[in-house]
Amino acid sequence: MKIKVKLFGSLTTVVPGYLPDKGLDVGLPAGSRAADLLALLGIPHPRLATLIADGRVLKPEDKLSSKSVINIFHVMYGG
Amino acid sequence: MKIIRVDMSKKSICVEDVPREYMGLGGRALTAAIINKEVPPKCDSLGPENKLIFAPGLLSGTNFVNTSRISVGTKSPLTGTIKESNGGGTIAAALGHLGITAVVVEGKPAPGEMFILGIDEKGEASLIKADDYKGMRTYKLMEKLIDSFGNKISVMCIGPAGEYLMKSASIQTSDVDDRPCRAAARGGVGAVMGAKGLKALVVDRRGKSADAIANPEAFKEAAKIFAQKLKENPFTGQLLGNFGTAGILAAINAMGAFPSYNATKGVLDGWENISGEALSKVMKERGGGPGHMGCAQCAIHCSNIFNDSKGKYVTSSLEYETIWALGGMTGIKDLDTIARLDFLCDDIGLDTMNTGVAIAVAMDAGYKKFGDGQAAIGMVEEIASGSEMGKILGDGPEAVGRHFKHHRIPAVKGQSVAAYDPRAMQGLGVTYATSTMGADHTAGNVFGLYMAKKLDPLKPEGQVAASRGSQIAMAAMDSIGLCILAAVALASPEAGAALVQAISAKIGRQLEGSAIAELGVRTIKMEKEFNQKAGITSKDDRLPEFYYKEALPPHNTVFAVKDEELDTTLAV
Ligand code: SF4
Repeated sequence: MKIKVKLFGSLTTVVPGYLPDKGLDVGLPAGSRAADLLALLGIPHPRLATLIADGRVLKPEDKLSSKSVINIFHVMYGG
Repeated sequence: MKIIRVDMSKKSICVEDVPREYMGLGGRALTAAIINKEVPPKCDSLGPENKLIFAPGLLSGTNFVNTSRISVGTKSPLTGTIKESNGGGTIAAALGHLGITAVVVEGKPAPGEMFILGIDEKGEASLIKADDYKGMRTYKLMEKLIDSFGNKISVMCIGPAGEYLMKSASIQTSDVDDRPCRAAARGGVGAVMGAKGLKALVVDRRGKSADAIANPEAFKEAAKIFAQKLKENPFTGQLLGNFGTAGILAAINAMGAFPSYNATKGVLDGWENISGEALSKVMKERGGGPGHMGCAQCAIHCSNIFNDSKGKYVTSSLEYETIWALGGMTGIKDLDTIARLDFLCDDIGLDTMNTGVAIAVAMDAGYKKFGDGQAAIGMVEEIASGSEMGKILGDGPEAVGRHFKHHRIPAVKGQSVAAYDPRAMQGLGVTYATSTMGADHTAGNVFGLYMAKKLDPLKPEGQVAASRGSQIAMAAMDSIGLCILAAVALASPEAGAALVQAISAKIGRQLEGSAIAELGVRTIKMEKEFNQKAGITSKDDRLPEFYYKEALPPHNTVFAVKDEELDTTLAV
């Protein structure tokens, strides 16, 4: 399946040539999970990454849907 | 270790050793102790019986990173509760270098009298007439103070809003570049300073009489470990330096919790224009930038400098909460306008959050259109003019709501909420409702727990415990003088141990690991005791009704934590 991914903060530099306006189209086997996407993209400190889709924070074991845009952040905190 | 007491009625100053009962306390814990013991709880917050206390944290003035944080304590004219408004800049370090544990301002001068309290490099304090500075905005004031006192000063000061005794008046404080862009913003502390007839506190930065550190080697080692852990964390080591606190905007918006158009939506259309990423790009293109060291001793550099399209300085320290209040809440999606509004608030001496939300309530009530940047600028200038409408706006969202008879007022105990909607982040609602000082995200922000997948933000379960834990931790951080952004490092056990070790080394007594939480609990207990004596009850610990009745899109949820549960939050 093809998934639209958007990277934020320092993660925008993880994928060479990443364009924030366009995001990434990533190909993954059907049934892939949040953790698979992080591994494929080579996100550093994957334990400290957060995926948000359709307003919800995904757990590593959550299945991805090709209908959703997956936003990826490093874990952040409020000041 | 000394306390400087300034009586504004008699214009007298005395210096005393720290009394035994206040020993070992700093920052918020100390202001809570002094207010609880010395201020009549039912007093008029703008009267002579109230006190205004400036207390650096326990570690301020040492070389432990991120410890130039000052607690401004008083009884708040905005909330009617005890208040600790925390500020950065350089003044906490400056006071620490002079071995000053607190400055306590009491009494009240004759109407029209105004003074500057100067503290020189030897720690000698004096009151200087400030007639020439009356009515002055803070940037101009800062220039004049540097002309008079030299350029090695740290300043806390008020602008016109404080002199008008407005409830949104802040106390601005100078950053490392001598700009009054940082603030102890909340609770109307600037109005208390105005009522005391104090235009500015000016402290020489060259003090060399800091309290001795009992075990310097152990302290140095602990400080090194903590700084290292701060650097290793992607949030404090990379994100804040590159994007500032606005780096969290996209995530909160993606979670449907970014209160927009006076809290009628949880996602802002056009948020990309005001995100941390957009801000960082614009600032870099114009020769300013993120990564600015706002406060002394800072190793994170969350601050920034925003220039206009010609490269001319507009404002500094443009933060997430400010972009939200003056942008998301008002529907203004233009960074130039938001930066201008931020500058005006700093210059006039206003809490950007209470002011932005006041403007949003006025817009929601139909006074002006959402998204009208010029109207927002006009409203802030109206505050500076001291007109009738300006006074209403300058007193914050509740005053505006009352004036327009508008029901949707996102405030608790008169103080505006912050940039996390309690219907989509229920734990923040618990903190807003139950904090000892009105709606205050810094009192116990649990957003990080949602990001770390430890708690579901939409479900009421677990939110009270999360808020309680965070409120205790934050009360401790504010007392230690550690910036709450640096407290993120405490996720690492080594950093937690290093912080305990540093405090132990400073005071010469080995503390248990539980000491930090105990300090937080003790502080909150003192604050609660004062509030109870002031007549605050659990009925005051509630969110405004609309949060329970009006569902917030896109999740279409309401605030669902039960009252009985809320009442257990700070039963510490
Ligand atoms: S991280 Fe930001 S608020 Fe905290 S000390 Fe540094 S500049 Fe000040």
